[in-house]
Amino acid sequence: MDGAHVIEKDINVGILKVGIEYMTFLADWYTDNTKDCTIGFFQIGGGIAGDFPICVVPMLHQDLQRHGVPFWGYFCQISDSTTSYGSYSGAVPNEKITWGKLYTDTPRFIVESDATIVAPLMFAYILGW
Amino acid sequence: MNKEITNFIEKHFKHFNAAALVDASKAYNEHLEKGNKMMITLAGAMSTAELGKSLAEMIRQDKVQIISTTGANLEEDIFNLVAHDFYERVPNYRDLSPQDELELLNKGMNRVTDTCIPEEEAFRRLEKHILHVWKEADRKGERYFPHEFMYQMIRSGVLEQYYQIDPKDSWMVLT
Repeated sequence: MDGAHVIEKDINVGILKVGIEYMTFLADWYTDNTKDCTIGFFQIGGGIAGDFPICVVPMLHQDLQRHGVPFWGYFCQISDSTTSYGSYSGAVPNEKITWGKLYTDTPRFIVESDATIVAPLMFAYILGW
Repeated sequence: MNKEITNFIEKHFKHFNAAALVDASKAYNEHLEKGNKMMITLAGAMSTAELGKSLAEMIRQDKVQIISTTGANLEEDIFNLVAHDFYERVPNYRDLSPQDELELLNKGMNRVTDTCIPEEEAFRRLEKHILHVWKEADRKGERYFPHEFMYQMIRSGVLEQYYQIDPKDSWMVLT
């Protein structure tokens, strides 16, 4: 829809901030919010929604050479994806250690099931319903 | 709260993926109880699955501090908010022929597995309102993230005339 209005010249494409700006926002947010705690990563499904933000940690460590930034402090994925096909969505949690996203002692879980069933149940449990 | 769901899960979810669900949920709470924070990432069509019914409460109770998601989930939560009564379920979606699918297109019914999102009431109903906030930003020379434009549209109150669900069940609307 936004593309159509850019083509129609109703708006300029520049009004929409883009992906790199999301990453720089996240880098600042992650840095500000891990001064005295860690951030957990709860991934519903796979895809870019998860793969993009999880990379903020290796970016801070490896690309920016910043020290003292904690790894993700908890990891859980609800997924129906299978690891042997090579998909990123199906990458098992321990593989993420090799990418510098999780550490050896990060609590990590995977629930291999239908997210439309599992996510509401987990939220209900977390909320004490 | 009588914890009926929690009690059921603890009694019956003992092994395999069911046990992983319990372990991961307990660890989630332990993580937060230590003063830590949580990001939730949302893929697929979870907004059309109406995850807002529980996710919105997670936000209200501060069980999640930041969400990463797709444009589809951002807009589909708003579609459900303003056009819920016009959605159609297609439980027999596995039996649809190409001609059946074409008829859905002709009716303006965009299918997500067993659920059709109505083109007119969802997409077209929002278009003039999102275009308004885009044009305002353009006029003022301002730039925003896609989710910020959607927040501007929601918080202006202009969509309230269309609400077809309790806004408490929308995770994009903070009530």
